[in-house]
Amino acid sequence: MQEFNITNFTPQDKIVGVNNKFGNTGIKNQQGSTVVLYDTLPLDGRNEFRFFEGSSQRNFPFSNTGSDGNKLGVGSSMIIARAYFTIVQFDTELNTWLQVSNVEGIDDALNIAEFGFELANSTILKQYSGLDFTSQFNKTTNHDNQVVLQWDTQLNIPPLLEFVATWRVQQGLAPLENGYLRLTIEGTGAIIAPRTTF
Amino acid sequence: MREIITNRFTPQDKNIAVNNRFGNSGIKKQQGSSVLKYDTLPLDGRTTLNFFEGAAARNFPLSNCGSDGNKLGVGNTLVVERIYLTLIQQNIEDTLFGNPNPINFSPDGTLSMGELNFSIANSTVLKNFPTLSLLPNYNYSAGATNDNVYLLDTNIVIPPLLEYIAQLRLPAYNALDYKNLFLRLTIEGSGSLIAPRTTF
Repeated sequence: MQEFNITNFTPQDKIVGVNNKFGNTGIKNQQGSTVVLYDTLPLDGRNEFRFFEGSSQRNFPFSNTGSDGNKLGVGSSMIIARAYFTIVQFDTELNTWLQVSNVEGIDDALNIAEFGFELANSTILKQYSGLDFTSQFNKTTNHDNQVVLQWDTQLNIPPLLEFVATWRVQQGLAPLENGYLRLTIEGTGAIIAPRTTF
Repeated sequence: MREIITNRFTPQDKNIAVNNRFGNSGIKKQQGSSVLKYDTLPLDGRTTLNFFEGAAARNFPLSNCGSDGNKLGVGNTLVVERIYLTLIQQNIEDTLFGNPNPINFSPDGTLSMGELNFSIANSTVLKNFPTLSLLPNYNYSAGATNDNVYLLDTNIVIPPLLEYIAQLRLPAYNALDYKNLFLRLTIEGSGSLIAPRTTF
């Protein structure tokens, strides 16, 4: 059993607090929501994946950042409470997506990696071991196959600031034909609620 | 099993507060309850599934929205705390629905690549939510390898008489692979049922 004690300072409080420091005092008036962003990059043998960078060029089902790319839109904000990696693969013969897989199910060398997160040119998460994204070494896992990592400190992404997640793997990893690595980040957030007519 | 202790602002508090802002101050006097709404649509090749839209035309066992359709009745509310998707099969011979399964039991990976949007009264309250996060391996709130229920970070209140729609977007798929398969979306949480406490 896993137990969580959440203090009186909630993720919502942190969103409002951080945005207030940026002079973005309207965040508390927006629509609270669960915000999940993902980006997918090809497993083409590269040794550094820079997720969300240039994601405005990638559409459904490769990314859901839309034209905002690696910035949140005005009035939007999110707390990165959790993250996970997935392998997705397209079958060109059947012209369909195959069932998704955990990273270690395809190539366990992909988890011998380092994860980083940059926000507005500042590193806010540094050289975090990729092994923590496997169920065996994930302190927040609830069952054998769960690979969602919940962070110790929840990071806030305010609107209009560039963010990039980096995943550094070893040189020489074999490419996976029509295979892609997907990073998903999720947590509490806000989406704009203009409360007016256009 | 998983236990989460949240702060003192409960879903019931949010329910009352949101309804008060709409001038619907009577909600606190209604019968508190656990409310669950579901709607089921065929996987017939369509790549956009609008759950709850037109649900008044679907009866048991496809939907439990009744004649209210995609609105809650007067005095009824729902705080959407959890969501899940279920794949259901219709037997060709007796037309009965059965064989409920999570979406990773589908013929291919199409359902895991979807995105869900939820809107209330034409305002989006949940945006581009990937269905991948519902699978037990990637679902932070899964307590077991077969737990597909996702606990939302922010509870969403559906006040009475406002239209709500959940739109699921899927990549293109072969309808023949999904023959006789239906997809059900379930939303659930605290809520209220009308308790008139008077005679008509």
